[in-house]
Amino acid sequence: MSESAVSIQALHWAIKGRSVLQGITTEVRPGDVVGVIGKNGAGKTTLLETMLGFSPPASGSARIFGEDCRNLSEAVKMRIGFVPQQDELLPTLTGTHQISLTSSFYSTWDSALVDRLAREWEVPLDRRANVLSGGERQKLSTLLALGNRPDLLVLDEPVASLDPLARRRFLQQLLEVAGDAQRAVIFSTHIVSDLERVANRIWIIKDGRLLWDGETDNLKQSVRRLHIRARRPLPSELGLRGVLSSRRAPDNMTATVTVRDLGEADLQAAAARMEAHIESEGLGLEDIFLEIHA
Amino acid sequence: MFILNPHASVPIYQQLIDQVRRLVAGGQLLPGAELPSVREMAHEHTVHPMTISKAYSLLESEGLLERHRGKPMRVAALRRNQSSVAAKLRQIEPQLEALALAARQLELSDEEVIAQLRKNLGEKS
Amino acid sequence: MKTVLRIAQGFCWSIIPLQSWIVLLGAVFLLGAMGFGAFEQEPQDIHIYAMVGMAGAIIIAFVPALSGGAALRFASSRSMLHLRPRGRATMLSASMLAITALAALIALPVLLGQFATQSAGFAPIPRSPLPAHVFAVSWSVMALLWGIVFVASGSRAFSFLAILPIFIVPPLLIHSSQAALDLPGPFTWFLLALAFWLLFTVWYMRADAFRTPRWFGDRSSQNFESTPAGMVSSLLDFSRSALSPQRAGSLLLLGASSPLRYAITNTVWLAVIFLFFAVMGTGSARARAGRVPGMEFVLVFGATLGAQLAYMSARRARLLWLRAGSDRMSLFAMAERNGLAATLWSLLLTAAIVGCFTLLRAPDFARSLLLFAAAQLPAWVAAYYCGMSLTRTPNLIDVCLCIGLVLLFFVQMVFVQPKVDVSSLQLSLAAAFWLGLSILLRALAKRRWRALDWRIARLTFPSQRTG
Repeated sequence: MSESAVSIQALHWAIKGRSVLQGITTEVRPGDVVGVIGKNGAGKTTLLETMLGFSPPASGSARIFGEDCRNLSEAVKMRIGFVPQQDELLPTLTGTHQISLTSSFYSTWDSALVDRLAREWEVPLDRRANVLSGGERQKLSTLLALGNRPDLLVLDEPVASLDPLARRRFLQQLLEVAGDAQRAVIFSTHIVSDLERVANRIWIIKDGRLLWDGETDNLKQSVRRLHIRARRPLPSELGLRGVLSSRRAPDNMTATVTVRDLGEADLQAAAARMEAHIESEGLGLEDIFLEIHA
Repeated sequence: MFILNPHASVPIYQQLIDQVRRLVAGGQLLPGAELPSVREMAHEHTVHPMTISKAYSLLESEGLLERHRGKPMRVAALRRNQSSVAAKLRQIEPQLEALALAARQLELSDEEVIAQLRKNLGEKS
Repeated sequence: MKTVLRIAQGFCWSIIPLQSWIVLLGAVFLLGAMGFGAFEQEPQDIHIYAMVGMAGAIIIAFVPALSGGAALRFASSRSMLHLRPRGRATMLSASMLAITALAALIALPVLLGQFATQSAGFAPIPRSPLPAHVFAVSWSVMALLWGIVFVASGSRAFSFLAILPIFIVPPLLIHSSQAALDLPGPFTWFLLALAFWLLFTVWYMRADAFRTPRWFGDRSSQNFESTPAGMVSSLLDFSRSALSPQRAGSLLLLGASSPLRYAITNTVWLAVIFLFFAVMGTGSARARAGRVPGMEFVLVFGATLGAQLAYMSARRARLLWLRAGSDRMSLFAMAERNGLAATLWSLLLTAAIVGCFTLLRAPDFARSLLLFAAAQLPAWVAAYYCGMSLTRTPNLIDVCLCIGLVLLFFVQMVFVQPKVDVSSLQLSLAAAFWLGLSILLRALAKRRWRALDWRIARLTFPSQRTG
């Protein structure tokens, strides 16, 4: 599997002089489920839409299955499924009509899958899109993206309007896709707990930069919260590398510091230097996210 | 059979590895017992199949599990070093750490803790 | 008070997309006329400027007059007013304020014209309407329209049926009894409209709840599918089992599965407007001179439909990006094929309707009409490509382009008129000019499409419910 699904090189995107994406370089291989998290306005949607060619980048490049995003061939487009953040359902078409409209573009449409999912997810197919609720529209949009069995599935906040049951069903379907090692998924979400289940790689976007690009497991093992209890007042500079946030107690004898990529040896050395006892606590993904943005 | 918490700070594959080790060392998983397939586990816990297969692969390289083509993973035949005291003690290492941490925070002396621990162990047997 | 002002401003500025540009266009005419007219001395010239200024003000008032009622209904729905004390009173006051202000704006140029004439020492121009009359009639028309549209937009069937009488019944009445207009003078109309508005106020304040507008409702009146005709068209499309990619592409770009179908339903609108003008104008001086009133308007300004179609399809092409075509240029070609076909069909059908009417009313006109319509072909194409060039959020260049095009249409209307003895040379020159302009605009459109950015150029389909 030498061909990567998505390859992004130094991608820049700007609007009206304001830089939104600043030099993003990363890669997605078949079999990856990439979770993209970031604050509102960090550039998640911009990254996904620029990557897919909706918007020409200011500089840099993005390649999907080896082809430049500005000039995707028909063959590559047939292998992509995309669920945008604001759904693009035509308001007066019913679900059935939407499906038949979308399916007419693809030769590899799997009607059985779409029908099955519509039943399982309880998507009403006989009502027009403009009378569906937000969650139903999201489900319908997702169905339309799954129908052509894409090799690259890109979803932009696909579960924002879904109740927990619907979200769980969606994640299970996503895992079906992920189970096929030839297919890749990229999805951005605010619901960090979903990513912990489903994503094996995480992209953290902050201020248009890729702050973290690696495996979920590594992220969890790399970010740790240190609880420091010293026998004498702590120095103003704790001398720890990779500090994300720190808080001290008023008495300056205890402190809580979140660090990233701090080795065990450095930890022991710091403990000795400060004459302190240091407990190291692992963090869940949501806490990691909060610490990074503290 | 397994309790996996995706939101814990310990990665899922590590949780699974720890639990399998514990169950095997404790005898709840006998040699030859079949483990659920990767797909089943992933579906049941709604986690990425790669996580499960990563855990299985690591356990297999440790010698704890064996892979049979076309069949689910199985617990390997018992080996001498698996039942050694040191290995078993390794299993309860996390609990001991937690105990030690709590004791330090409560500023209990070592003797007090050991006395209490003896009582607890005494109750069991 | 501030809320009322803000809402009234909203009615005048932001009911539909591009309304702000329409207002600006009208303001250009209004201010330009007032500015230039201030230097005129001759009463005749002052009168012309006053009329142009009035036209500008009517342009500004056009959108609020026709859709203010629906906007009021949208803003009066339960979800909007739910937590606002005195919400309805505020909404109503804002509507009243908007109507009165716009009516005053329409009367303003006439007032200034009168003032200028009198201060220059001339007697008032006989044919010029009195400012008070203009105000009264404008106010009445807008108040009546506001209320009728409010009521009509409540139900889909009713709104479709109600629109027809507005355009058909009054002209018929007027045609059949010319005296009917003179009997109730402007002030009688004003009193009638005032009484209507009072009744409307009482009903509005006491009604339980208002449904969101069914037809104009989700601001997607620019989307073909939302129109009743579009929905019928959809039903026909999907009655077969499978859509071909070509029809599907057309459906996504235009809203109808073929350019002809789109043209037919769009042209109905034009036809209605034309018939309105034509029937209203029978018996007028121009009709007696052998010209069909409303014909130029429809044949010339109908081109803006093509521009609107192009504007829409640039945005709707986003839906096709991942589904068809290999790059933006091939999508341009697809949009061009469908859009040009739809535009040309529209022109053809419009010309046919106008032609039939002409054959019935003024048969010797038919030949020059045919030539005139043929000369309009490149004009419609030019307007189409102008619309295709508007791929970014409008900046100064785009606005100048649009205003320039509209001005050119006006100029053409003044200098090239479809009289019985219209000169072929004039028509050929006009056609050649439009053709040249089309070629230039096409090149511009292609350049813009090459860098088309769908994060900027997108349609929004707002949902009506949040689940």
